[in-house]
Amino acid sequence: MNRIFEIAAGLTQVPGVSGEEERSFPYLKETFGHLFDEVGVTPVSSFYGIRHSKKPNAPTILMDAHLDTIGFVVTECCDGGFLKVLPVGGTSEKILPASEVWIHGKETIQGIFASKPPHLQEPGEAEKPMRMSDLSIDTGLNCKKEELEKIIRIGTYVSFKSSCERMNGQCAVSPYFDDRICAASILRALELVEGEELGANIAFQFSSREETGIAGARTTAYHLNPDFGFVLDVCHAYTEGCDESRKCCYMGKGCVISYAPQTTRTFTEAVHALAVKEKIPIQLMGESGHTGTNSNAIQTARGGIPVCLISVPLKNMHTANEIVDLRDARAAADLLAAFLRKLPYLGKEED
Amino acid sequence: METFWKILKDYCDIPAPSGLEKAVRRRIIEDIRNFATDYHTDATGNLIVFKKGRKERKNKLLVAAHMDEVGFMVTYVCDDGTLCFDTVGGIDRRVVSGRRLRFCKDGMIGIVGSKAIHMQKKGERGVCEPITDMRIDIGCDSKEAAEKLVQIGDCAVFATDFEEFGDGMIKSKALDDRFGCALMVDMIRSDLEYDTYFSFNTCEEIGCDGAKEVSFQVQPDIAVVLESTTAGDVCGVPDTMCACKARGGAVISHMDNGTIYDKELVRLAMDIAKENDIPAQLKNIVAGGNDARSFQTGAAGARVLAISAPTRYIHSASSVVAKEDLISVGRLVKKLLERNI
Amino acid sequence: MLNLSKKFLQAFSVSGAENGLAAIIKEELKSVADDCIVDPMGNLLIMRKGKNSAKKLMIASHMDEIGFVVTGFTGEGFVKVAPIGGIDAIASSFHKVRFQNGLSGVLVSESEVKAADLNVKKLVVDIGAKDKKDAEKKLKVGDLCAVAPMFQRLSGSRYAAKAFDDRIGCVVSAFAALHAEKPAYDTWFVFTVQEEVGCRGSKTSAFRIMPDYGIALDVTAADECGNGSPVTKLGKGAAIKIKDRSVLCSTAIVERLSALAEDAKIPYQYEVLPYGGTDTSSMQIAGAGCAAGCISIPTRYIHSPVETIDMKDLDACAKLLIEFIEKGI
Repeated sequence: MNRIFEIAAGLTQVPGVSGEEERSFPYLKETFGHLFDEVGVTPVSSFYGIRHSKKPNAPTILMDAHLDTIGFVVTECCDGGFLKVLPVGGTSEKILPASEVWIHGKETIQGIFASKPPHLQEPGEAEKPMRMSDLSIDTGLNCKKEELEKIIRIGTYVSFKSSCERMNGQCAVSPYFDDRICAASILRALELVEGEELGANIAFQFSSREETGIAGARTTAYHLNPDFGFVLDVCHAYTEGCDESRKCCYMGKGCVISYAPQTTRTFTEAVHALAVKEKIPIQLMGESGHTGTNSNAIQTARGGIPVCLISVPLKNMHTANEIVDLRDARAAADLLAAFLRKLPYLGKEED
Repeated sequence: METFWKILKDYCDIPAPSGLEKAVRRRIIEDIRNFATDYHTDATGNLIVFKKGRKERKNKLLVAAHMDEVGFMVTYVCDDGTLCFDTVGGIDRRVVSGRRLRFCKDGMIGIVGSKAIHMQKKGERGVCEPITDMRIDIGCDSKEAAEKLVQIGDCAVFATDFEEFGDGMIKSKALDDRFGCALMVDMIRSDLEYDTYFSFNTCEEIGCDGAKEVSFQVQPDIAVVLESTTAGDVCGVPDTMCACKARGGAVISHMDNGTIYDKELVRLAMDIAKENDIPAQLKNIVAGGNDARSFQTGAAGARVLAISAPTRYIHSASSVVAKEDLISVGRLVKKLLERNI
Repeated sequence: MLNLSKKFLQAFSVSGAENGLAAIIKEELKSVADDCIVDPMGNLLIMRKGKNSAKKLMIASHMDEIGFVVTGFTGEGFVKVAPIGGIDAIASSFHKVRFQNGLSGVLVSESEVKAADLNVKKLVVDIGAKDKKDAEKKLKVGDLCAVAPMFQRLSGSRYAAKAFDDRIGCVVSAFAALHAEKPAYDTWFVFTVQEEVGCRGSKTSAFRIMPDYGIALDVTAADECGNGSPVTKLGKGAAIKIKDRSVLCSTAIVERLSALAEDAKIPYQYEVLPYGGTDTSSMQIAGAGCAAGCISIPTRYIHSPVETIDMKDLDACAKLLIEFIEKGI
């Protein structure tokens, strides 16, 4: 558990807002390069690593987690060191006032979402929805708009300030666990099988721009051309006040296997059976439409790629304090490692 | 001055909401005990210090700041292991949702849960729920598990670190009013011209209570309150509505919701600032309040003055002040104490 | 560029019927084309060989414009229509329209519709038909129409026209094709179809080319009266796109375009568009993906019959595009 936290904590130190994932490449290459025979980046800013099998004609298994995180993009520099921004990926405005951010201009500087002082609020204003246009970021810089524009421009990306901590028990918190925790699971799985002879090539893709569409996952999967693949993403853990149906997915009860039209059933069944056999804690989720993950982008790449979706439950998604239970991430890592050793599915439909 | 910033940082990072000031008080005592002429902690936790100066002062003068900060208190442990809570002191609910908190007794992390945007229903988007609907999540899945870690009445504060950023700005959860505390410690550690009393008060944030008790004990003729006050100079707010501005210098209050300040003292402070080229500003909105109201109306009453640091986003996880303003407040107060008032 | 603009603006080119404009552009560029393809969807692909043929650059501008399709006729002879692309009912109503077969009509709203309730479902075309039968003689279900061409010089270098979106992009692309020195890479000037209905044409053309780099040319929102926070400003130069709803432009392209503009002293500005989509996205996600960006032309009143631009911006866009074509990444 400590190891998976270590990996995740490292991954959450490097920002990578959708659109500017390049920022994390040096760290990824340096820290995880040794797990792969080959690493690279794509024109659309995804990172990938390939580990070859010695077996001839071995199938290639894709393991996808997305690299990008939600954030903001600057639309205007204002006098007094303030910035106006728009969201990249969705977040709720209500969690923003007084939040700490990093502004990735010519240099990365710290900023704080300004909040309106109480004496300026109209009676009852607290009950009204906040709008992005009412919010601004305070850079603490004492300057006119023109000075500010020398380090920050329209289009400068902004991320939540990273801060990863252990909580009580096996929980941990960070603004970037969506989806860095899943990358940690995959990387942990690769560590678990390091040095072992495997019957498959592994293609790890840390894809870009998931929060804004399919651009990263679709193109990277096309490039890596796998036989089939795992998509790992976070899902909403049940919390009080959510719909009853969300009770399928609790914190700390294991990783989640999704049955969905946007995933491949025979593949999913094989993974499910393996988890039961290996006594790895899992939960099941049924998603009848879009999964809200990369599964569809990968499934429909090239001539179609069978996918299995594994999720790690998470609370407070798209806020500066996303919580995961490390046991669930560990379960995902164990499941992937077991799969790589046993290979109960090889990417073929049987009739 | 180097040590001042270090002291300020240390004080700001201590978790100590109203009623739980002990940790700050202990640290202050450690810092002043070799410098104070006399000091004692009273029955309710206020720390009262006397420092002999080179000369006796015409009036009994007390300088005061409060030790407590705003925070949160557990009010109930729910069946699902989350915690109901209420705020300690006035906190805008809109800076609470989704926040990371630190419990005072053991440093445990808690998160104020926030429904993910994906699951918010129409109309919920961007609307902040009332505090009574929020829960602190400490990573427990049952009441039993949670009760092993917390009990009703436990307190937490915003979990953010003291940091410098921008052009000489400081960000911390508790600049209000550890800044005042640090400045007083700085003065107690220096040589003073005149005899002066200092009080480090409790429970300002919930009604200026500590100051009432101190007032009765010290019975000062003059009370000078060192504070942090709301600076509204954020993007889009007109100057006339700012109350005061960051980088505008020491803030001198003439009136707030609790006090009409002593006109002589206000004029004196402004004059001293002018004579010494110390940036200073008058608060241009009648809002807020502080310990001055307790001193003014406590015991037989006192003449009061409040000198404050303009603070953006006060009572949030990230209060922001300009270092230059803190220096201005420090210079002004020191110059004021050199007068035989 | 003014002449090219006038020529291109005259063509009828509603989404799905871009062949007329394609023929005009093809004719215009045949002298410089090393290769020319019209693909099954109707995209026009014109290639100029570059110094380095190992890499491919794709320039995309769309030929289509928004319009209407005939869905039926009322007993009185009014023509029922459905919108093609993002029609703004207020901006389009009570204007002259032209059908592909040359027939003219006027686009009106049903009577007694209040301004606040006006929407595209309430729009019909009056072609002057006596009754349903008469109308059916002149038109059939499926015929297309668009607001009639309009081209008007305002003061200085500013012009208003219908369908600057995205004829003006085609103009910049064609101009660059004609005037750029030897390109750095094999450069495909692609004039795409059906952008207004979901960037469809660029998907197939991008897949065919599999470019290494992609640049789209399209219009973007510029300052209008009463809008305090415009996306771009008219007359302030070429807009380098950071994002719109369909794409987050590749950093490599954004940085390169900025550097080229700085070096050549071409006026430029950045664009963060909270809505809308462009062919940029199709290029970025084709195959294994490519580094894609967009040079946007600041335009007021987009999707109205009086889209307004500044020719100086057009010059800046053309210069910047030529720089990129000649110098590459």
